[in-house]
Amino acid sequence: MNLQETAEEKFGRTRAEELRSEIEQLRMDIEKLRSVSLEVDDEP
Amino acid sequence: MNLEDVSLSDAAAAIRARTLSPVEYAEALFRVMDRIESRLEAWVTVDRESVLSEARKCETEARGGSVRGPLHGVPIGIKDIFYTKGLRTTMGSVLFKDFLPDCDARAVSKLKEAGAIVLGKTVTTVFANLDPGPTRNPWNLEHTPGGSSSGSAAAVAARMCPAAIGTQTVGSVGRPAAFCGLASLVPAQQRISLKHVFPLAWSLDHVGIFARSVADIVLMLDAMVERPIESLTVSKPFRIAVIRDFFYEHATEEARELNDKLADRLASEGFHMEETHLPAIFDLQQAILRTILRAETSSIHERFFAKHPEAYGPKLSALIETGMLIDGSDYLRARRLRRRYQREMAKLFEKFDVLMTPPARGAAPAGIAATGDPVMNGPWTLTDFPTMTVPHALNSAGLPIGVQLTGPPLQERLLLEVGKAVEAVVGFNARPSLA
Repeated sequence: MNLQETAEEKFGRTRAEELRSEIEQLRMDIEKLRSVSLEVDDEP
Repeated sequence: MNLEDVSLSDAAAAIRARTLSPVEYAEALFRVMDRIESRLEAWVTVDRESVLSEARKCETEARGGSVRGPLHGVPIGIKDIFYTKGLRTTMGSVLFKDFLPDCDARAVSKLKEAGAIVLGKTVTTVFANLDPGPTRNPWNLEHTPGGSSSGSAAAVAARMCPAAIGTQTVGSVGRPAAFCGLASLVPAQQRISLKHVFPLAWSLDHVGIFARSVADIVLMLDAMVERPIESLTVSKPFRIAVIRDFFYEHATEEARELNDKLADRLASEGFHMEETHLPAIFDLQQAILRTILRAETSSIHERFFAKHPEAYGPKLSALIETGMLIDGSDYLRARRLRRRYQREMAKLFEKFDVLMTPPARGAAPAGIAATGDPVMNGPWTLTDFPTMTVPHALNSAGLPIGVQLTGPPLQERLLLEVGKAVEAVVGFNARPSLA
């Protein structure tokens, strides 16, 4: 998962750089959520 | 007592008893606006002619012995993201600066059915996120009133209306209520309809209420609920869990001390007070909340943002753009983990009636370039458990400090009973100097 690269593709390098700290937080959030195993009965 | 100081419940009772004229009451509130609104900037739109016309109708009906409902003739403030038929609704955004809805939001319709008069539209931050509006705090104009329901909180605290409605997606009711020294309630999402309320994040948005007493909150809640909320027989003493953990890590020293002092006082008044601790899953709450918020806000604003990026403030822009980076599977994972979080957090009520935490890091921060941190409210919004604030102290700078009380799922009546009991003990009766 390279969100920073995806952001550069979507918004351009300058804007992606401005968003760097937000993107880093998002990356950490997603990693944290992915580290938890879900069960079938964990319905949304 | 000046008319503007009359509580919602007393005003409604006096109008029903024909001892208070709705017209005189509305005019008294307008006089407060004339005196302070230029400094406070709590309102976006107030149509005085329409308010007075409606007040005259209510007065005539009351004289004839007919009242529309429990809020007959009482003016209420409405956050400017609730649609109001024929009354400008801007969402705090230039994109909607001239938007005239052709219908009322369901919650507004319910208030009108109960006899309330829409006094006007109160300032919201841009699209109810973190980019602030111009509103100042009536306790100290150099401080934020909080947000996103900035105008609703400031207007009620400053006696420009006896109650107002707002919305909370993370901390947009509890935080401004605490900063402005008000009682507030965010009931479970299903209690009050969000129909024709401009969304920030569908699964997190809630309608909330601001007033100056818990009794007034009850009156507003009962007017807006989709189905009556059943009453409960509650055994006393109330069992209140004091949760420090995460909340004390984020609170100022002064806020922690005042919260502990309140807990001691409640214990001395016969409440069963006991510290409890958060379950392990609490560690995920910010990641779950932020992921859902980013993804849903991004989806809502994708079209507008693509056409008018210049109309968005820096905080909302960043939220939308990072939301665009989230995969559907990660969003779904966050939603599934939210349910697990709700189930685990509900176990806290096996031993307690209500959970007690600070509603903000401390008192309202200085400056109006930001609206403060919603970190204390987000964990409860994510649970969808009913949550309220009650003011209980002034800090060393004379700014209000509240307590945040959270009840079990769908147990608004229990929560409000405890809130009333806490309110009676603390007897908070300070008012902002500006009011």
